[in-house]
Amino acid sequence: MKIDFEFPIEYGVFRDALHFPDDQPLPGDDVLELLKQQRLQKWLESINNPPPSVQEA
Amino acid sequence: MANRYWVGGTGNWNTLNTTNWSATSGGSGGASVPTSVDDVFFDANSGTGTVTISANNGAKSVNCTGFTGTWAGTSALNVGGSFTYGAGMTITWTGQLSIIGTGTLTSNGKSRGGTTTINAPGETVTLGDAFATSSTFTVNAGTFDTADYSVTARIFSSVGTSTRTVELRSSTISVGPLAAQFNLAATGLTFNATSSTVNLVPGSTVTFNGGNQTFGTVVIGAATNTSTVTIQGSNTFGTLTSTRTVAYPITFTAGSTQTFTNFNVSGSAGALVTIGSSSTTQVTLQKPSAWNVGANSVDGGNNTGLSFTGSNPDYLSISYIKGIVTTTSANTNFLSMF
Repeated sequence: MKIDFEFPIEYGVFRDALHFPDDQPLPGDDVLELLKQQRLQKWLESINNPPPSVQEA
Repeated sequence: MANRYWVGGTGNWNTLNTTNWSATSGGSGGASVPTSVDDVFFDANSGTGTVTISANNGAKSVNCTGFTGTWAGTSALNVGGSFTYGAGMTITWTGQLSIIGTGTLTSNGKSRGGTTTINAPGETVTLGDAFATSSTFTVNAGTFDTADYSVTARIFSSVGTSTRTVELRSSTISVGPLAAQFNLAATGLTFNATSSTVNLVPGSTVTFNGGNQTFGTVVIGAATNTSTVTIQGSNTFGTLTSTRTVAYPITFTAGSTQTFTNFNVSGSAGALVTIGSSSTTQVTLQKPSAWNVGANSVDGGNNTGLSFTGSNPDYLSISYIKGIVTTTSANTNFLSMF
């Protein structure tokens, strides 16, 4: 199952999705909200303080 | 065509090692190394060790759902369809990921270094959720569809001459930081972005080569970065806006024409935004209303069509700019009656 979500941010809108196996129960609403917030914070971190770019093979 | 499951934890994914490949989840190793026609799975039965991608490999699809180990190495991976990162996996792998056929790219919140390339002539790669990389994301051939999800990359690129479509829908595309680039080339490109937002994240440099395309909103972020924003190509913007609060320069390619519906770039007292050309040849800026560029703006010379009055925009330092008021098609038709 896929759950789409979005947050308005300074630069526009952050849109993402959570994926869950079809054969398992979904987490509760509080856990879902936590997961969504974690995705948002990680995304903001990737913009504001990303890891150094790498030398690619 | 077969399924291949990684088993046994730590090992090398190369062209020779069969120890870690099984025909079933959690089964015995010794199956053949997957090739470009095989579906590959890393799952909860794969072990928690480190998988080192140590040779350039191929697979029809890769699905890491349930995998809690680590992907490492620097070699490339070509995938003919869908690619799914596992939410619980660790990724230090920095090789190039090339998606070469129709499928869905699902990140499950994971990001990594290393280039990700869409190189799927005549086929379509669609995002399954938000995508982020600290390296380059490039569309070389085929169709890339964001499906409205957000994309973050240090460099977002679609250049070359191959037939390709970049469908940004209403996505927010963030490029940067470091040496941020948004880089398009018009030849062979179909580009749909009128509802999207492109966010230029501050870095040491910010280069926006719009490839003569049409954009929805382009944001020059963020508050305190002073790096030069270089805008190349002759592009059309629904809105060009800035969230910066410090002095910085915007340089347009000499001789180019930029068309705006809304030009929302202003400086502030003591922090003028410098707008100019890359040489001593004027740049043409056009928008539907008069270029009243602000009573507090500075005429740096060699401008035409500008009036240093008004308050929006304001606090600019402008040189080598030719301001033009666009005429709408409706007005054109009206005037043609006379």
